[in-house]
Amino acid sequence: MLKDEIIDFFEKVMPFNRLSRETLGEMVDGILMEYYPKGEQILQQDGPPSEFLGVIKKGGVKVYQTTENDEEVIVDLRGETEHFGILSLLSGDRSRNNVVTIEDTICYQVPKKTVLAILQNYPEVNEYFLKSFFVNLLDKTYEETRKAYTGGTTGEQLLFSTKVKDIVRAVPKTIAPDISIQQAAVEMAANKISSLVVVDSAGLPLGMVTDRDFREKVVAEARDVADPVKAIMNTPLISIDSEDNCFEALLRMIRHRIHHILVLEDEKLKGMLTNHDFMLLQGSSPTILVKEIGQIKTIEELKETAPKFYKAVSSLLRHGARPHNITGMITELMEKITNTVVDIFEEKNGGSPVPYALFFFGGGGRHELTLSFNVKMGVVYKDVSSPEQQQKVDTYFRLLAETMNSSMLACDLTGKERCMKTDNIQSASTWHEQFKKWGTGAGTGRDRGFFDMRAIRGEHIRVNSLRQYLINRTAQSRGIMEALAADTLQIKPPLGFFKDIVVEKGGEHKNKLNLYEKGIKPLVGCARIYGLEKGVIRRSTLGRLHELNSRHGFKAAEDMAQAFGYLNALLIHSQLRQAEEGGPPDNFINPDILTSFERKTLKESFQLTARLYAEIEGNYWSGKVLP
Amino acid sequence: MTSFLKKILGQPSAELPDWLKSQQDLKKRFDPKSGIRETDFVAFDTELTGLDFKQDSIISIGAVKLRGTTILPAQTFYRLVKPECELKHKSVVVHELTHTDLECAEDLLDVIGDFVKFIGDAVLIGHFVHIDLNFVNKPLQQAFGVSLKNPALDTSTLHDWLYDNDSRFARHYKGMTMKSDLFSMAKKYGVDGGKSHNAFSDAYITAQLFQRFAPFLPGCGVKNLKELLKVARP
Repeated sequence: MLKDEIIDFFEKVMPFNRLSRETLGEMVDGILMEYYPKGEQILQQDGPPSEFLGVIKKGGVKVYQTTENDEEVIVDLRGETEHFGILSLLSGDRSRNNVVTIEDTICYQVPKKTVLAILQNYPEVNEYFLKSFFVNLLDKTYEETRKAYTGGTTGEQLLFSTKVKDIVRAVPKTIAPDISIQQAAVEMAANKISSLVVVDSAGLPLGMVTDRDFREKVVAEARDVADPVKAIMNTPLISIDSEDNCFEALLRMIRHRIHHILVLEDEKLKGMLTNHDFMLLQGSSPTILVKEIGQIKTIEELKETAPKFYKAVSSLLRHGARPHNITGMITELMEKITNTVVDIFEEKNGGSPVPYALFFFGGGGRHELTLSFNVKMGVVYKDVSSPEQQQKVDTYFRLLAETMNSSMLACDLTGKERCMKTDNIQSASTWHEQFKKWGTGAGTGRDRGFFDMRAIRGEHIRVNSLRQYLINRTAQSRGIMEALAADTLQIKPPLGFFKDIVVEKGGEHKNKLNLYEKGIKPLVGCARIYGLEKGVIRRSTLGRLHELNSRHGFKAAEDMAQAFGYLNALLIHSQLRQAEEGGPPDNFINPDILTSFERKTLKESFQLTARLYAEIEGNYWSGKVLP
Repeated sequence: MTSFLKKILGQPSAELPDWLKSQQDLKKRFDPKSGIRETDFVAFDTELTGLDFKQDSIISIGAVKLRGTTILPAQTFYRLVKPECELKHKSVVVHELTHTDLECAEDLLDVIGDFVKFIGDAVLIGHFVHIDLNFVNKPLQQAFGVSLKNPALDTSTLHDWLYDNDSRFARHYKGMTMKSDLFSMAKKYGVDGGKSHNAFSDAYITAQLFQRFAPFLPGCGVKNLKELLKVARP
């Protein structure tokens, strides 16, 4: 009856789907069912811990934290068959997050007692929850793919896939328990080490002494240094088996607040792990990558960069970075690489014959590159007078463009499209001429991305004044606004007649959705139009939206920002998965693998775009078809 | 009163069984000031051969317990009753219970006895609950001359009261059907009764309707059981 239906439901809930129906039956006996209307707070940050694991039967919740500046940081949105409250249930001290319903929500509540019993008896469930501390969205949606993928070549899974024995260092120095404290100190000083392991005559470890013990137990307590060292050693010894995975080791160290952990193999001392070892293991942090890129001297060396990008991004995700942090980081690294390529080029071909500036436009200009890396660059150089000079300049930049394109291609850092087209290398006055044509009906090469141009090398002022020129012209010319609106409205939100998501009908990406083109770009376009209308100077979409909201009371901006962040997160997760599968990340996602809640959120984002379009159409577009 | 009069008035000759005795002084234990969240409820529904109080009788009883507004899905009750009169064609169509299904069913008083034990001191919740109560009380009256003493509330009454007294509630569900039968209500409030259609699923829907309505109560000044029973009186 009802119980069977609840068991059926839990068979769809990770990680309970790994339990037998019989076990689920026992679990369901203690279960509760609660209803929360939209907007109700279920858990409060720093409030009492959860007494149950909430599993959403219907509806959805927002899990978020409030920072000291009262800023809301969304941790996750959870929908049907997803759960909340496990962290505080396990810690038992306080709630880590706020959990608030975003629609009318029905929850099953699995009482703490039941959850703990299951965790204890079913290691596979236990493992799942330990993991989900770190990887939420990614893990949930792509669990199956991840299972298939066990190579462990990205930082993503290193902590889980690497065994302790794989990174353990040499056996630490040991000492017998009856040696005097003084002698132990001498040993440590002689070997310049901060800890000793106390072992018995059979070599079984008994305890450990560290610097801290000498400070706290000898000096502070004025103990006799002739006492045996066992009097001050730390017990019980916190250790880990060499077959365990690194994550377990890290967890244990965090739990016991220790910096060293002993590794045992068949109960014998095998070695020791420290915090430092884990830092090495996770050596995929963006700062390390930036440093590495800085040291690169040849294009050859650059070729290994793309996989490192993926590592860095997945590491950032694991640490809870928000989408705009990630796109910002990707763009930042792209700038570094671009500069490195130009450095290498200049080393060989000398500096530019004229003053110039190299700029990113489009996503790169806005700090919004994703792992599909569609970076677009251009050059603006100082006008030259003589034809000879012009020829020299043309040759120089053509060669630069070629080098740039081939380097980026060789490093898997661009797709099919060349990142630096010769059309986008022009003198200041040619650029002006080009921009003048925009919106007059005869515009060629109209690319809205130029509104977001940003200098990354050379004389920045050249780019800034060019951009200012473009913006000023737009403010004066209704034509340009109309052209912008027309360009933006060209890509329709991918919603079908019945409000379902429309996917590609054929070709390489059949049944997939170009999330950037159909989802993100329209939002970027709308934010740009409204931004230009209100004279917002900022480039980034979130920056524009923020200013539109705070300065101009533009209500939809908040929703747009949410949708924008969500779509980017979805795209980046999907790209990471593509990278894990060995293919180059693109902008396509398969809506079929999304959870119902994710699909719903996606649809809502598209509906938001559709509403914005309707407004823009009414305001700016006179209806004439623009060339 | 003489035994003759007792007989005329339907007072049973038999002593009350324990399960009925203990519930006759329920009022003494009943605390009208207790909060809604601290109260035990049982949402229940019966299925009948028809609505004629004289002729018809119960075919099945379904019930689910709640602690406050939390449903306890493992604490359920569902039993079939041997019909005392012929099943009408019309009602067979509705609950799809045929004579063959009811062959393994039990005697009405046995089922009601277990039901009374199941509900204990809980406050009963039903949709048009007076009908169900009448049909539960009929055999109790006939056999023992007593009725259930449990307080009861009606989700249909509660709904109408909220609609009239809480503008947020009315606005929340604006423009939707005003039909008050259980299924229209379930649909309106997005309540799902599960796959089957029987007395249990109806009880489960009723429990969930109560869950939907309860969050609006504090805002209308309904904070304890006494006030709730007043506005949701059957």
